[in-house]
Amino acid sequence: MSDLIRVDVNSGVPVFRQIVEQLRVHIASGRLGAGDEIPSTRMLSQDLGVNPMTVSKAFVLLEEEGLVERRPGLPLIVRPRRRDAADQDRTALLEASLEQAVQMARQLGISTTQATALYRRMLSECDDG
Amino acid sequence: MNRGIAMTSYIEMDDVTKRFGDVVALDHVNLRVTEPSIIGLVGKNGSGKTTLLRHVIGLQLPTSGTCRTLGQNASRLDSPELSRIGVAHQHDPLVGWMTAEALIGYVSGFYDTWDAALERHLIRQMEIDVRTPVGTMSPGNRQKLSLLLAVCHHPSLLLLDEPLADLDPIVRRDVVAELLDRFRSDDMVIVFSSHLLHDLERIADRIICVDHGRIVADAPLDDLKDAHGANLDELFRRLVGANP
Repeated sequence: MSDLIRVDVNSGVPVFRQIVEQLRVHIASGRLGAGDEIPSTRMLSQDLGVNPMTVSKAFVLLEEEGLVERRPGLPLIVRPRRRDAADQDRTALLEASLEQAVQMARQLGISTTQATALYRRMLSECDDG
Repeated sequence: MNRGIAMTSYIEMDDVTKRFGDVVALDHVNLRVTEPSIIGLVGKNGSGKTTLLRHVIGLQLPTSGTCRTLGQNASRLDSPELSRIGVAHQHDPLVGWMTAEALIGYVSGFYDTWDAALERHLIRQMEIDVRTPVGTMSPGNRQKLSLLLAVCHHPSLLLLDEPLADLDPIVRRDVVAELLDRFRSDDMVIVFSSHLLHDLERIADRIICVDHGRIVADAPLDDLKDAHGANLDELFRRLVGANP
């Protein structure tokens, strides 16, 4: 799991948010599928070297979002997602990370055509690489 | 391990003011600690951090106001409370002529709850040479020894005043991991004063910032980060306008 989650404890973003964000991405991308176990609060807090309360806070949020399921005495598991819900999650995550790029394009006066061309080029470079 | 704490209060300071002559060391301090947490106590040198910790254990008494620790007035702490408190200062005046081994043996005798397995674990983990007379130990090794002496009886309340200052970054990392381990296995409150904000930021869930004897911030670290979008170092600068 430590290769799935990396946190920067000295960032201005609370560690629990970093954990939530990364697990969301792993679930949306399918890297963590329905029924997969999430490591316990104790294990993850040990792995990451952070306060266990930080980890349990992250888990509570994920549970509230319906992404994971708590089972008494057992590790959390990833809940099954309906295909359309999973699609929505994925686009929502991409949208969130594109927001800054959109603002930057406008601030720099880059046209929509230029910006989309750039995005297309970067995507295809990524596929080739 | 929950040792059946009947009261829910670890620290209650009500309007505590401490004067040393004309100097106001604590200025109307109000503080409540009611649940297990790791509290980072931050502030510039001379801001009142050490004075605050000394009030919690009754080593100094308020000029006005009251301080209760584990439900008892801090001026009247006795065996039931003291056996549940652990303290390590930056420069603990440990008994210099004793070897670390002898000192550990001596201190452990005071506690019914002393955990010999934990003691051995920490000696190994922190690489404490127990045959060395304490007086000839390096400041870093003395600091590690103070920590060991402060935690092996499984305190409910652990007060650490600059416990990492004399340690190198790698040992600091190990010590911080050990503290987290303690916190994971015991229901406890750790109050941890430090200028080493990066280390503190890793483990603290609540930050109390003291400036000129006043508490200028007391909030969950996550809330402070969310509100200011800044890390602890930057938060500290904003709160007291200075470097840690």
